[in-house]
Amino acid sequence: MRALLATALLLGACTPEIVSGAYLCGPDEACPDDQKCSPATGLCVSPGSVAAFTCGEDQTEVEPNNSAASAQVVQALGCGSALAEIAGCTPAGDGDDWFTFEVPATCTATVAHLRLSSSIAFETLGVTLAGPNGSFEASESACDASFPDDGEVQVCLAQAVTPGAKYTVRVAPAGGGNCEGGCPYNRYRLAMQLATN
Amino acid sequence: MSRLLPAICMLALVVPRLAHADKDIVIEIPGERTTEQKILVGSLAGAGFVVGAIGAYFHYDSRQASDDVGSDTYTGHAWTAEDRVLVDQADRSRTRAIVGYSIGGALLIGAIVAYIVTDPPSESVVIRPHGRGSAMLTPTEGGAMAVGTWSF
Repeated sequence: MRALLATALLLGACTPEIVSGAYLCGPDEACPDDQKCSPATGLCVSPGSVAAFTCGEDQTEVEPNNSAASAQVVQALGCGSALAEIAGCTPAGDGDDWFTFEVPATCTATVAHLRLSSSIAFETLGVTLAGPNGSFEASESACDASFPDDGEVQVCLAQAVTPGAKYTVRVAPAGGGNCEGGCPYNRYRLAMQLATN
Repeated sequence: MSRLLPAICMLALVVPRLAHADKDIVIEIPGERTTEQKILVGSLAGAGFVVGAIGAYFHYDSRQASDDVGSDTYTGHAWTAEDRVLVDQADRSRTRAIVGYSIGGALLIGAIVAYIVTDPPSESVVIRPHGRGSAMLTPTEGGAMAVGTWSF
């Protein structure tokens, strides 16, 4: 009887022990069986600790920016500029987020580089670039290096731009990974840079 | 003659006791299992060890998978399908280990029971002295030989 008890205890130790908060939420808010994704933090936690989605306090995106006409202006993008980063959010019911920037007239052979990073747990986001007259210029593609295991999915965009022209960037839900409508939200970071080709 | 004298003295001490022994001599002859019984016990024990070893293998496999996915600190990684596979593997191997240990243990217990049940009874042989004064002393070269008769 004692041997059986010892065996049971020994085997009991073979059930994975995963503490609350050990893992980031996976695609479609995936978590270990006994845990749930907390949209507020993006962590897998015990069911009693789940908190609703919030955009957080470190957002630099400013609403309303749901159309090209009301696009948020991105400052300080010079030729060969440093990286400009926007912390944005697409809560449920929010439409697209639009941003605009102007390529300095003194720039030559310039390429706009955009990188959109968002949580892998919630609705996937896409980014597109529109030209001076609102025409479509380019959409995102896979980045050279992306590490979804770190809880983020990244898409990139690189497009030659015209000096002195004004461009708009649209960040919008791509329709996937939204838990079949259960998690139609996400937080993102949009990094933008003008570089000499 | 000098060597014969101590032997005769010794026999002089022993032979009267043999001659006057009036108690039966009991000899225990241990029994022996049949070949079939030996095969049965050996098979049960062998199968028990083999099945138990298989259980230990799955225990190890379960342990490995469990260690790979389990964590008591922040990992910085997202929960993925691969992690789900590891959890399933740990659970599956754990179940197999329990089955292996249970069957292996049952077989070993069965081997022990069979060993006890098939333990053959020992046979007692009673040797009765054939009467008093039946001992004989026969000189031999360098000594002497004591001879007695019993019935059994």
